[in-house]
Amino acid sequence: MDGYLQWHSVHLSAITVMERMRGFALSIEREAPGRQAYFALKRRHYLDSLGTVRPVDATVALYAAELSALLPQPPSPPKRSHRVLEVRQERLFRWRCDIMIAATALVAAMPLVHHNPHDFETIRMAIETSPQRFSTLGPLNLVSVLRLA
Amino acid sequence: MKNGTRRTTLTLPAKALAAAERIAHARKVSVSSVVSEALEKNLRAEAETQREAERRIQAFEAGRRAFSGLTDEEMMLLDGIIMEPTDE
Repeated sequence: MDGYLQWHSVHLSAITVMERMRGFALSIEREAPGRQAYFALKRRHYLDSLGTVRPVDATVALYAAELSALLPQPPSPPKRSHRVLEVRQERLFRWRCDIMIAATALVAAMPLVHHNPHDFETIRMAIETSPQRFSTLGPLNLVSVLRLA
Repeated sequence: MKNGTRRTTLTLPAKALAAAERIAHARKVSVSSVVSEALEKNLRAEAETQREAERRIQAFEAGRRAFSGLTDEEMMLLDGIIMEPTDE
């Protein structure tokens, strides 16, 4: 990863930042006071790590809308593990976030580094099979974060 | 050494030298000043690239500190995966 960063500038989608900050806020809210300080420090480190954050502008919104129409439902069911389940509404929210992140990378013509191959591969395929809806854009290039580790 | 300068001999590509001579002639300055200006510009850009790479690595380290030592459950929450208890 250090080698990759030496030569490539990493941009973040504002949506990724929103998802992360929401996670930190919920963690702080749910934890006991001692752990709250721990998560507040983690959040500080995260904010220190932010480089260029790409907004959802009108162009990104238009292509995210196309993708949402093409792929209204998430390609996989809500996550589930022992006695806990991802609420369907949350799964849909996460899917729409992924669509906006993908649209941001598509419009910026930047490869998308991810650790969610299932969702992003579905989006990549949809763009590839409907070129008329993404006339001057694409393909969406995906890079698994595991390949950079 | 004169005014912080040093005399040296360089071997340059003929095309680059011809271009430098044309620029020097147009601007009415010496070829030395055109070449040194280009060299300084390049060195500044190189140093900036290096600083930018260092900033990126520092940012990556901050990111690593943000996410290290977290449990899978805590990491899921930061990934936007909100789980609720189920009765099943």
